[in-house]
Amino acid sequence: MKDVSHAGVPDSLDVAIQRKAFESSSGARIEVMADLRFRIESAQTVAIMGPSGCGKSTLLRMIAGLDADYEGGIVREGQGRTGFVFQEPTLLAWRTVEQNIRLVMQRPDDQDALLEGILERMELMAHRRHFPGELSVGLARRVAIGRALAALPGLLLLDEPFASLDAPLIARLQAQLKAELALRPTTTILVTHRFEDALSIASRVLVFSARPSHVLADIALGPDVQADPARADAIRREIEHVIGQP
Amino acid sequence: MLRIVSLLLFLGVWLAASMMAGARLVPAPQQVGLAFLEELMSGAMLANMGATLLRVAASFTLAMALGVAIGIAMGRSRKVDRLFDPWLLILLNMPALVVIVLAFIWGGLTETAGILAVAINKLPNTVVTIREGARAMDRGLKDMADVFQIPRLARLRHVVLPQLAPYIAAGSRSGLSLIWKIVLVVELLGRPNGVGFEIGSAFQLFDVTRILAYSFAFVLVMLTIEMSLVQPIERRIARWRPRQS
Repeated sequence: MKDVSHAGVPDSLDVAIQRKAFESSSGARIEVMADLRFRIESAQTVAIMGPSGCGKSTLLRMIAGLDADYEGGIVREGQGRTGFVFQEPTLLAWRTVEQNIRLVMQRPDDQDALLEGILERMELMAHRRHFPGELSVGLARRVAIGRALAALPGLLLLDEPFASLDAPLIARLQAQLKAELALRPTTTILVTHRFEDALSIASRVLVFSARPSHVLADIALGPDVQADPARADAIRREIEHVIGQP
Repeated sequence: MLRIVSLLLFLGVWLAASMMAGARLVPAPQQVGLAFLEELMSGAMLANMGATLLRVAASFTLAMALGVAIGIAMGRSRKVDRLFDPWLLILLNMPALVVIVLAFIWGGLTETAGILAVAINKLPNTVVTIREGARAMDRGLKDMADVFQIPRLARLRHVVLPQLAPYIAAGSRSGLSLIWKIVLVVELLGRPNGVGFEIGSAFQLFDVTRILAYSFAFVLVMLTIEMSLVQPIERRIARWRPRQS
C-alpha cells in the first residue's frame, strides 16, 4: 500500500467493498455496506453524504486502517500518512494545544515553522499554551483540524468537522480549511450531513444509500456550481430527494 | 489548630498510660526522645534507617515497574488477562510471611531474596490497580495514536502513562505504606541491619523504649517522603485538570 516513490504526491484511493457487517449486541448481523465502490483521484476533495446510519463514519475508519473487518479492498497509492479529524476532538487533555499538535508531526522538534504557520492560520496562537479543557468546542475542533494538517497527510479524513458549531464559526472554519488545502493540495474526504459543507470545500459529492449502503449518486461540484445558487439549490434538492430525508 | 490539640491529646494519653503501666512497659515520651537522640548520635539510627530506606526504594521500584507492565498487558488483552488472572488470585491471597520465608529458603538469607520477597508481596496489588486503569483507557485516543502513527515511546509517554497516572499514584500510595511494613518483617527475619532488625533485637531485650524510638522515627521519615515527594508529584500530574472551586 505504501509507495515511497509517490512521496509528496497526495494519495489516490480505490474503494471496493463487497460487504461490511456488524454484529449487534443482540447477536444479529446487520449489513452496513454492500458493493460500495468508488475512486478518488489524488488531491481531490470529496464529500460523502447519506442517511444517518449508512456507515459513513465506519467507512472513514476502514480507510484509515482502524477497522479491517470487511470483505473487499481499499487500495491507497501515495505516501500513506493519514490526517483524521474525528467527530470528537480527541485531544490529549493533559497536553497543551501546542504539544497536542507537535505530537503527530514527523519530526516534532524540528518543524517549528510548520507548527507556527498552522497555529497562526488557524487563529490558535493565543491558545498554544492552553489545555484542551480550557477551550470552547469550536476552538477544540480547530486544534483537531490543525493537528491533522500538521501530520502533513497524503489523505485527510474529516468526520462531521463542523457539527454543533454556529453558522459564522462554520463559515470561518471552512474558509480556513479551504485555504489550507489550497496551500498544500491534499486528497480529502469530508463526511457531512449538510450540503452547504460539501459545497463549500468539495469538488465532488458521493451520495450513499441507506443500509446496506452503496453509491447512489456521484455529483460534480465545481466553482461553477458555487457561483450559481440556483443550480446548487437544485443539486441540494436532488440529494435530499435521493437520501429521502430533508 | 485542631491538629495541635490532637497531637497534645495524644502525648497526654501516652503520658497517662506510662504513669499507669510503668516506664518499663510504656516508657514516657521524653524517655523515647532521649533514646532517639542516643541512637542518632551513635550513628546507628541513620545507618539502620538508610539500609531500610534503600530496601524500600529497591522493592518499590521493582514492584511498580513490573506491576505497571503486567497491569497494562492484562488490561489490554483479554487473553493475557484470562491466562494470568488465577496466578494473581493466588498471589493476592498468599500471606506476606509465607512469601518471605520461602524467598529466604530458596534464595538464602540474601539482600536479593529479601527485596524480591517484598516486591512479590506488593506486585499483585499494583497489577490489579493498573489493570483497572488500562481497562478504562480511552479508545478514541488509541485510534488517534494509531492513525497518526505516533511512535511507541512517544505514545507511552504522552498517551498511555498520563491516562494511567491516577492509578499509578494510587498504587504508589498504598504500595509505599504496604512495602515499608513488609520490609521491616523481612529485616526481622533475615537481615543483619535495618529498622526491622533493630526492633527485633530490642524485642528480645524487652527494650520498649528503643522499639518506640525506631517506630516513631520511621513513621516521621515516611510522612516526610509522602509530603515532600508523593504529594508534589501528584499535584504536578494533575496540573491540566480544571481547578475545582
